[in-house]
Amino acid sequence: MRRYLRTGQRQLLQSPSSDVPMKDEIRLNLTENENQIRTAFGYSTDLVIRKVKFGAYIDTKLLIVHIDGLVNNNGISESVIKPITLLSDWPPLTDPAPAQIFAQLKNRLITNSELTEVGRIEDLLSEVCFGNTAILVEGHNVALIADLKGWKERNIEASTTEPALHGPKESFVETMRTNTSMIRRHIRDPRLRIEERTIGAIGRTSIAIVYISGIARDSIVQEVRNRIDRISIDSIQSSGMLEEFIEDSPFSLFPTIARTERVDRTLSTLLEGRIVIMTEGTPFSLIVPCNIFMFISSPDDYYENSLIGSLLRFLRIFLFLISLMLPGMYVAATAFHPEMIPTPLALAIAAQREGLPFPALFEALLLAISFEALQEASIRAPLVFSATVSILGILVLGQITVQAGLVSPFMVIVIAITGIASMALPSFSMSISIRVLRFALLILGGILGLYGVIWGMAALLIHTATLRSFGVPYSEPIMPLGISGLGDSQVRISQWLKRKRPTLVSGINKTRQAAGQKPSPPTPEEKKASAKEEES
Amino acid sequence: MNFVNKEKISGYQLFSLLLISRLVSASLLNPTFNLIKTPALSWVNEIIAGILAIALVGVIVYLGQKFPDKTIIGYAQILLGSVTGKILGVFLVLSFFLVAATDMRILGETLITTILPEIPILVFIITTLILVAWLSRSGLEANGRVAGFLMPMMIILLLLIGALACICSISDFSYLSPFFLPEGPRELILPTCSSLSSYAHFLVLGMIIPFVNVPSKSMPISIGSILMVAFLLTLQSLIVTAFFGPLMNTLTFPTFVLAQNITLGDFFERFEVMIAVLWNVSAGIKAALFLWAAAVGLAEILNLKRYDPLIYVLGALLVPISMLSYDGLMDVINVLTGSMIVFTISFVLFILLTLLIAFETRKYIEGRDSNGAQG
Repeated sequence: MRRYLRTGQRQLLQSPSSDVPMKDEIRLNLTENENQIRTAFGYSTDLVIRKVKFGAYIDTKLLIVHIDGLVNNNGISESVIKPITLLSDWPPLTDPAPAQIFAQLKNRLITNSELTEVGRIEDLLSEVCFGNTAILVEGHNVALIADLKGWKERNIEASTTEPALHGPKESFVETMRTNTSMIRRHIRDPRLRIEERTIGAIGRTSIAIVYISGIARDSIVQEVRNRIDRISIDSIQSSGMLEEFIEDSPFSLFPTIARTERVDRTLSTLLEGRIVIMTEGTPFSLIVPCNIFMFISSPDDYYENSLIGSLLRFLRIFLFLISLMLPGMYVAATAFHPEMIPTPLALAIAAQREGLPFPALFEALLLAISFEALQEASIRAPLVFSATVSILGILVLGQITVQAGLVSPFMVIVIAITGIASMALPSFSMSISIRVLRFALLILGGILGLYGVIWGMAALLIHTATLRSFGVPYSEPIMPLGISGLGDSQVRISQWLKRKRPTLVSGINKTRQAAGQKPSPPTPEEKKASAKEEES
Repeated sequence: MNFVNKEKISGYQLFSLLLISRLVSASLLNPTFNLIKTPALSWVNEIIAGILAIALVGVIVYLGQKFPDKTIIGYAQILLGSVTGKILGVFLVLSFFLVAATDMRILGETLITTILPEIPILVFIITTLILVAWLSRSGLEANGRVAGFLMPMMIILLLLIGALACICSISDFSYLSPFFLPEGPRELILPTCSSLSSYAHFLVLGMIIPFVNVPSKSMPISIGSILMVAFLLTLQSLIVTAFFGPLMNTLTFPTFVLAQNITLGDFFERFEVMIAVLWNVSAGIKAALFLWAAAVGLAEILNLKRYDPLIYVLGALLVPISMLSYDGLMDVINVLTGSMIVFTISFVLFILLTLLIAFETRKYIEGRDSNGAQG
């Protein structure tokens, strides 16, 4: 029964409109076809159906069907209408039968590069919905589909969510084809594979699986295909929705799929052997499999000296830990282990906390929640209120609460440092996870002291050790230890040292570059040789 | 036993698991735990115990490699017959379970003694057990990953404390002399046995070998881990003795107290917190390893297809067992440094010798039979 229902649901989803006999063949009668198409679209005003005559001397009529706004009008007039109306009479057809006319259209007249044929109304409607143009011939039951898509799209601009000081200033847009073309433009190799899927019985969103054959591991590519293929839904609106259907651990706070709108980042992950999933209508590509270190790396790391890049990563790891643990550690230290704090500092904290009405845990929670509220308000509030939010935040949180004796200045400093540290993380999805986990550690620290914080961190350690992203350990190359991946995790080694791709991610082609490319000044022998060359 | 092929650990993870399971108690309790009467020579017994442990581990790995897809309980049933093998397996499971329970109790006692005396020990045991059972249920692979992450930190921390103790001029190396034993070499017997009884925990290796991705590497890795442990414990003995001298035997947690005394630039202090953190997590790893071994062993004895449902049952039983087995920290130490030394060593020797003799006898009989058939 359950199986029957599931099949029934699937069939229902696959049929866009139950009142139109979608499975029908295209009829020979053009008027019947027109009526069927108009009925299927419910006489929508953006549906354009134009009837034209095939030349001046033949009475056979043609039907040109497309949706206004999804096609390139210029392209239609130049590639379809003009050839049909102006060029169809010469040379004259010996047999003006519909099949001959159809062949003439396909082989000679329509100048568009992409032409396909469909024989069923359902397929025709689907193609039209995708922005293609259908051409039907009176008396012929096959339609020609010309790819003449064209709509307004956002210009390619610099990334706003992942800003970088150096590096290319191009990021993805909402049109998937533009995005895949940006990748193709940089990886000029036929091994770059772009596999497309259509998801959603109603929305029919295009999804592209992008990878480099041989560099990506086949088993992971297959796993991506399987997870995407088993989605049965009416519509996927964004990559965020898709992410929820394909992630490994839906209840984990840690993101197991990386997102980026930067083209350079997408390219570098493809060359590591990772797989990129792009969704029509979303300017973010999804990267799988990913590891925790991908969320602390920034594109700037690769545009700076490797030592600077490594130091910046260390700083981010430190800030990651500060952001996670500082409030919990502070509360644990002040409430349970004052002996942990150097004596002068402990005395200063005690002096400031004297007379406060709340225990340290409540004080920290009050400030931390207020800070979160302020952060949320500053993102959601309309731009005109942003100044008000900032002033309220500075005055109420930073000054008045201390003056009113509700919180100690030290606690304000702790929460402020924590907030700044969490904002320094390049990934918003990781940053927001840390914000949630910080509260858990704060409460544990407030109840069980240092032991509570250690307990929480141990739990996170176990969780990350068991977490996987498309079958690959989330905490690689640290847990398990992978030497080839270590060079681009907590540190960023020089490009000429990165000989191998990450072992667990890449396929058969694991070597990135030849050995011995360390730059150096010319040796005396080389100098002599070049001097000889110059002399000769 | 179909769960052997489901998870595999690397040689590095095996090394980390063995190192952590040996160092976890020793890093806090040694060298006092070894009961040596002459602190100046507390490091000698670590070297002797290390050499003896290599022989012990050699037998475990030798047998394990002869049955690469079987745990010690699995091949005990082949060598000794199903019933006798299962009886021996029950003893092994009980020993693994007891090690986990003792580990949990030491952890709880250490926490209430050093960090949070006002919180009841039961809170520590129950909360830690939640993590231990979780890690254990996640499998050996997850445990190996966590161990692999913490092992370098543990080594670095021990070396750092040793180096800082020397740099900060708080050590007096004259405490390391004289180089003789007032009561002669027999003075070393008890400390060596005490240290060796901790190495007896390596019996768990018999459960791990089939899960190692390259079983042939188990021998060098196991010996390597013993050598590393022996080196670190020798170093620890030297540093602690140089710091405390004759007072060493009066302290329960000498390394912890040593770390408390290290101050760098009048600001970097409280190194004992780092010890406590690492020790706490490492103790969890060890308990999870032994809980896992007990669950896998029990599943084999009961011919179950999965072992993970047993983890929570055994985990729940760990609470009363660890609470009821000992009266307090001193009782734990008294048991472990008293009757438990004799019991552990004789138990391990009995198990290994029985299996070794059975294996060699079986090999001899099979060889004779095949020669007879050929003749």
